[in-house]
Amino acid sequence: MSMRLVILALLAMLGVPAARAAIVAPPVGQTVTTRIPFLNGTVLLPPGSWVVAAVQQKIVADVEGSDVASIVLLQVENGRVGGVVMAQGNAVALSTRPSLSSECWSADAVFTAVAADDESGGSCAAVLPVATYQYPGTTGAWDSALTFAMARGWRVPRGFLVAALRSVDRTRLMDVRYALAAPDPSIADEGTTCSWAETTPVPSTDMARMAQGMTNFSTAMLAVSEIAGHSTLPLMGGAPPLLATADASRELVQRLKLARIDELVENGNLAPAQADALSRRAAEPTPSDPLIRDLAWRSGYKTLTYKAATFIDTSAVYYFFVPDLPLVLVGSAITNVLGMPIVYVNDFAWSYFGLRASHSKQPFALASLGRVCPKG
Amino acid sequence: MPFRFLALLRVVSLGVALIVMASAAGAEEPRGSAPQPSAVSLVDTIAARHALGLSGSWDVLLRRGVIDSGTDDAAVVASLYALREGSDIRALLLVQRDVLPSASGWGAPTACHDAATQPSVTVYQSPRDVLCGWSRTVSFTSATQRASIGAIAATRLGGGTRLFGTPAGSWLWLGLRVSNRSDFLDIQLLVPNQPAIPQAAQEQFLADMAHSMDATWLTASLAAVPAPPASARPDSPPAGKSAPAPGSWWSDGSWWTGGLSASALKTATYRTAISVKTFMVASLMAGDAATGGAIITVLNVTSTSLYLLNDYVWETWNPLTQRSQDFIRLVDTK
Repeated sequence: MSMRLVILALLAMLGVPAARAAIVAPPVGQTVTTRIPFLNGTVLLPPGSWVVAAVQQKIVADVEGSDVASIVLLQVENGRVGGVVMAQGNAVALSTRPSLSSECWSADAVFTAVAADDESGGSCAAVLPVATYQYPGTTGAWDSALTFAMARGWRVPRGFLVAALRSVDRTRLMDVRYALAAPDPSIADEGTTCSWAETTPVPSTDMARMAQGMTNFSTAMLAVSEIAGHSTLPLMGGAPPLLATADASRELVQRLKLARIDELVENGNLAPAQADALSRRAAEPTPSDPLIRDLAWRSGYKTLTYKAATFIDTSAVYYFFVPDLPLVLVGSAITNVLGMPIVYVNDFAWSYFGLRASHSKQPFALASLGRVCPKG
Repeated sequence: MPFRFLALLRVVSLGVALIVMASAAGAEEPRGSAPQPSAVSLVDTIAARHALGLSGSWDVLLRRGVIDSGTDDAAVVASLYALREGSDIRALLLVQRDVLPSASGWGAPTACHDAATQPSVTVYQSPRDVLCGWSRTVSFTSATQRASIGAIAATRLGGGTRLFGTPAGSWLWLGLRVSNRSDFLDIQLLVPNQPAIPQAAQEQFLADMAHSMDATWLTASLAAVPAPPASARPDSPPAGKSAPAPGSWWSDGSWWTGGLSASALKTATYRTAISVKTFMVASLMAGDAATGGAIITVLNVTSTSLYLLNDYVWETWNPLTQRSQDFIRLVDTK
């Protein structure tokens, strides 16, 4: 009898439907290095050990789709939080393309770059000085991370330089913030919260060095973020140091591509000779955007069709005012030939910048570590 | 006591066996092989919803083979599955993805905008991404419009063309492509078209497939999601319109927001730049600035209208998109 019950219980366990899917992320308290899985992607970590301080999935008011997953990792040196990685993304597919971060256009940023922002999605980066919230109760995942740090007696600096990277497509958003603590002396005993972040009129050597390092870091990571944000391919290796000394974007992007080839070889889908050829192709510089080439020709054709029509139009109008046919034809020809470069440049410029123009859709404000320090 | 121990052992063994059986079912070929076997269950599920009759066991003819597609030097990872009934092929399924990510997006297959393709659905298309589907009727026996099985499928089937002479004379070739700036996923399906599958059913199948692909293609595996409500179906052109041009007025909801506003802005900057030059030429030709002014006034109306019209026609009927990219074709048509 009891055996039947056990069997029934086992069968029932097998038949139990899965609970709401948990966030794919390492658990709180775990120490990680190099990279972590997060949602459907990978978050690359700068060198060193990182402790998972908070993992959260919560409803965010006023945001369609609303379920936002967050993870916060801390890097601790001598009892002080020296670095923070905060990743956030939507857990449920959106129906409207989310916007890039407004910080990517912030006048208070040390550095901004928008790699792409069109109908299909985009990615951008910004480096900003941020005065961190010091007490729980201010914002979602950072709250939990602060509580986690306080419980362990870790000191959280008041100021961080934050590299904010965001990548979006039609249904998804991935926002990763890498924060580097401002040097202790520059924020000690400060009267105003953001005085440490000022780089003018007398630039702080430490802050200037940090700003340059984080700018290099962001430039390198933006290229990776643009691919990683739209793709599910595995990312191998880690991020460069937060105080990066040079742009490593090319190396990182190649690593992304090679990871995909390696995976195919490991699974026996790709012969070594084929893999070599593909690896060589992956190592080649990114070819110029074919759309821009098409755009150049297309603007040319458009100019020709317009000029063919306008030659007749101009000639007719000239003839109405100056009834001298040879003079009119010469005048019309001069007008139209001189006008061709203007037509072409106007159309190309509109199309080119139209391709890169902001198509920000649904505002998507996410939690942050604190408030951005205003310049000056 | 020994009896209880044996009973416990049996229970544990049974539990382990049940768990192993459940795991094995999940790993059954082709439904459990990584990373794109889920395409098979996706097609199975959606086909069942629309009574396309694809139930049965799929054989793996090619699993994640890396093939140079010949399109823009793009290597693809391709899988090919066959649904057999005895010695007959009941359906073929080709799934392909890019090996290396692109930096500038991928194009649509030619069939998505081919006038001969009927029907087709374009959920979205920008210069950088696309989600579209299409279907067309093909025959492997017709003397006039004879199709043949694509090279990869023919090789894997081993003289496959002969197999397609029977039992169906008419086949339906359906395809879907979803892409973003980085990657693409392309699915092609070949099913018998006897009895003929109504166009409405084909459209619904494509819309349903597109909806599920859109929702899940960037997750760990493809999966069928609930069908979209009728009101949320992809835009279709109004009656009498040909293939839906991206950015065209019917898909954007308004002729003004759909492209005319952009054309108007473009025209404004153009006229500002061109008016000075035209005024100078006209004044020189006429010999006085007053006539030059009169000419430029008239031209500002006529020439501006022509510019606006030219731009609007170009942007509406020939918008900037990626070039068509077909990669591996399941069927070659003449």
